[in-house]
Amino acid sequence: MLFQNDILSRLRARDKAIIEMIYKCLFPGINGWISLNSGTREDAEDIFHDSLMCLITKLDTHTVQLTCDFSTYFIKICRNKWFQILNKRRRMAFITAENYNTPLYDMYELAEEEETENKKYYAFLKALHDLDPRSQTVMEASLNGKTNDEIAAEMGFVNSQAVADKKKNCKKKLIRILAGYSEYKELTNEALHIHRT
Amino acid sequence: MKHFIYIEHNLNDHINDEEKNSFITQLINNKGLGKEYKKYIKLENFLNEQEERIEDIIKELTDFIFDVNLSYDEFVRTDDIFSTVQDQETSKLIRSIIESNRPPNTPEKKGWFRAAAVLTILLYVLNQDTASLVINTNIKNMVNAIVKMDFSALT
Repeated sequence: MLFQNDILSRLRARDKAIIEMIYKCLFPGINGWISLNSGTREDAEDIFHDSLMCLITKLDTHTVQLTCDFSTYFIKICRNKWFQILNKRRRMAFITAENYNTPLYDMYELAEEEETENKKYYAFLKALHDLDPRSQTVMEASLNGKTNDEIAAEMGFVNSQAVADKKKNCKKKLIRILAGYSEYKELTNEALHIHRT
Repeated sequence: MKHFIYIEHNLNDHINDEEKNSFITQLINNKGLGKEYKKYIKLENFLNEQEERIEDIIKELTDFIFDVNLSYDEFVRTDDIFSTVQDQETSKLIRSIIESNRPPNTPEKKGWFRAAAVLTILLYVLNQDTASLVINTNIKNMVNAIVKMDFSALT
């Protein structure tokens, strides 16, 4: 039986046997989940590859302390990566649909818009990341589709109205954070520039 | 931003009609306030747009929980991948393991082709007013051959 730290140290050493073991144990589950969520086997293979690459490069530079089982941790990374891919595809679909009938539509402009959309998403993630822990948990629960009543019960709020007020407060904080970002200021200028051309 | 807190108060807190009218009047007369108000609304719309997009994707996914810190960490780290020779070798190693464990491709069954062929012949049979029993038997054999995909029977 392998301990969590053994897995991590052997991954850091790029041990072929441990990578093969992780593949055999975890890939079927990852593939099943991605297939269930509008992906293909090829998508699952890419996600497995990218997630493992991310984890190994992270092990090179950071000290990773697992707070849960390795398989739980790795599956979480894979699912999150798939979510990012779906989000990126959605952003791309939006850009393509918007530009489909534009006569000046060209690949360069499309790539520029994709970059802007990526930066926008990054600014949003960064703002959420910079929130205080309690506000972050409320926003996370809300994005995950939990109702105000559920959030109130889980996080000890007096009632659902208190959660609604907290959400409003979180949005105020997010707007303040975003208004201070130089990245967001650049982004809005870029977006205006693209729109004008 | 100079008027940020004032705009925030007017848009988010419960205000009376007098405060509301005063805010509108100032919006019309004070250009600086108007400019900042537009920026505030733009930021609010930006937040709602991003939130809606994330919520939509999460709704479609089964058994997925969005984690802010993990998403942020992964998004930042994506740019670092394949930056060194060692990373490229690791990538090749993972790819080789994936490829060596990939199940062999099974040939696709030509079900649609078979169904179309059978349907064409059946339509042909039905359209034959003067078809003899012998011809029908031959056609029956053709249909059976196609169903079994045994083309040697046709020769």
